[in-house]
Amino acid sequence: MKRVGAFIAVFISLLIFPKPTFAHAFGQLYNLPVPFWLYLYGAAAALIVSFLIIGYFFNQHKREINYPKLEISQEISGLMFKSWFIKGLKTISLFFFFLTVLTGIWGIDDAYSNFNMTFFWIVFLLGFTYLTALLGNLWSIINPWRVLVELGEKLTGQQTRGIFSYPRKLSYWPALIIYFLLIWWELAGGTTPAKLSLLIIQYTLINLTGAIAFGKKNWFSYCEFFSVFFGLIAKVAPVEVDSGKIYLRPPFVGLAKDKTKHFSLLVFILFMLSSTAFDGFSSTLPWLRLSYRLETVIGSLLGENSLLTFQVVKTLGLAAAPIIFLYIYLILIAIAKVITGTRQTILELAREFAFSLIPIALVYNIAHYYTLLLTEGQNIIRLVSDPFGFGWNLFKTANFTPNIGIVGANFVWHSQVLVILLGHVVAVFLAHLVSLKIYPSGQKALISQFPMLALMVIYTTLGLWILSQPLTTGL
Amino acid sequence: MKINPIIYLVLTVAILAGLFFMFKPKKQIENTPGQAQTSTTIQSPSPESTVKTFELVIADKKLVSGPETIKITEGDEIVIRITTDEPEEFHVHGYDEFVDLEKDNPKELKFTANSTGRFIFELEESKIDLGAIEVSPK
Repeated sequence: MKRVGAFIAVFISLLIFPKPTFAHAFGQLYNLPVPFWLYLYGAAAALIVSFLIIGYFFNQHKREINYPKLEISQEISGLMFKSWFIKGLKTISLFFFFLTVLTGIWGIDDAYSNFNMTFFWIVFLLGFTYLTALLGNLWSIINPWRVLVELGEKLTGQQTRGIFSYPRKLSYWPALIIYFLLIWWELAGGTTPAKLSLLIIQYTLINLTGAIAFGKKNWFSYCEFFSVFFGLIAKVAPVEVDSGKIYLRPPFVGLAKDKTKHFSLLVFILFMLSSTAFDGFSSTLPWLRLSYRLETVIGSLLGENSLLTFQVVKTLGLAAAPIIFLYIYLILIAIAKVITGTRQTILELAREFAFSLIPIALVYNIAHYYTLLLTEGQNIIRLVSDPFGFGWNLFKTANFTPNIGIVGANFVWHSQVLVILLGHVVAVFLAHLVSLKIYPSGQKALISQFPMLALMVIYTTLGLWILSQPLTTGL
Repeated sequence: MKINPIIYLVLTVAILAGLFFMFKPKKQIENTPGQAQTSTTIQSPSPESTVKTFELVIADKKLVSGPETIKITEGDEIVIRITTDEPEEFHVHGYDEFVDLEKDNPKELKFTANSTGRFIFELEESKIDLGAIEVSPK
């Protein structure tokens, strides 16, 4: 009876989806478009370095992927596993979780004066992502929703093993749906502290209900968006935990070890790429022209409501982007299948190479957003002193003004291109390691690399092209 | 034939570096400002930077006259003269410069653009973006 009541409560709460507004986005990037010559260089360099990598692999037939592992000292790893340390981390996580929600409810409803917007969109969504790429899957320990479920288990003395068994067909699709909603909200939706808190509360209800319904293990493996997202990002980290020991390893090798059995996870990874690409693209002049034409068409169907038309067009763009990326991917995989004559299906091959796209997704994210962490992220310094916007000054930093010139345009341009090139190199490398594993002969593995090379070059060039486009405020 | 990976790496880096210098444009001696219509350049007392003035006319919460993208160079002193048809507040993001606007009474906003980047300016109260200032590196 209690459970039915919970499901109903979740349903009703979902109906109070906060109304999005036309307000301009929180978290403005101050980046200038990358100069055209630098974009061309990036594309040319990506192409050339790809051939160089293939050349390097020319006569190698290694099938096993061995990499050096360095064990971290016993003192440090011993500390990491101590129960008080882990409990401390979970407590800190819950503290920031509640602070984020409460500041939105009781604090000032201005995005720049409230702790929660900067904390969630910048410190957490960007900063913690990059931290995960460096340190590994911390989220599996500090996930506040998981911690809440664990607390519930302690208090009620019951384990959340689930009422229903998780339907295999659902796979990672729930996490992808939530991902879509999150990015949609960021792009086309509202940007106020109060609405953010409301969304977090709704998401909390969804997670609690889901964990009760399908069990903690399945819910947090397949459905909770952040768990899936950080789980993928963590694979690039140079840190590995194995049988109670912590090791250092080369970055990105984690992607070569595993592969996915799920098409939905491939689409999830493509959405990582495409949503960042679309976010960048939607500030450019080419998008303005395209969306203007689309709005004219859609506007004639929906009537004069320009806000609705604007949101529909943006939503269509966001939804179309992963489909376009998937289409390109599947065509090139199909070509690889044809020229190698392999018996594996297109879908099987598509899944094999899925993880080799993650470096590109990560560098798309870094290239596009890292400056936001450096500029807008500085605001957290003053926000911790006055999280609610009531005029407090807890740590005497409330009057801190960020230095917007912290990184100059030249540095930003070159670092964006460099980081995208690095991601490209890693992706091509990984794709080659995968092909060595799955094709019987070294020659077939080599041939299969040309369509994969084309794929990576297309994605990389597209990423660079978006960064080089003239920007517009959309008027 | 196994290729020594270190030599390969050095070769790769050398090729990429060489390519970079091929693509990089030669440094221009005279910096030609791109702005056409409404900017005037006055030599200021300091020899390195110049003062650039722009006129913006806002009507019905839209920019009806003046550049949507104001392009200046790092270190320039910028003067924006704004005429509007209703009281509002003009805000430049990043630099966080504000000026109160009055109906039919042109107001000036002056500051030195020491940071490079793209900074959107807006009508603060209506939360409507009007355009952006692009400060290019020297």
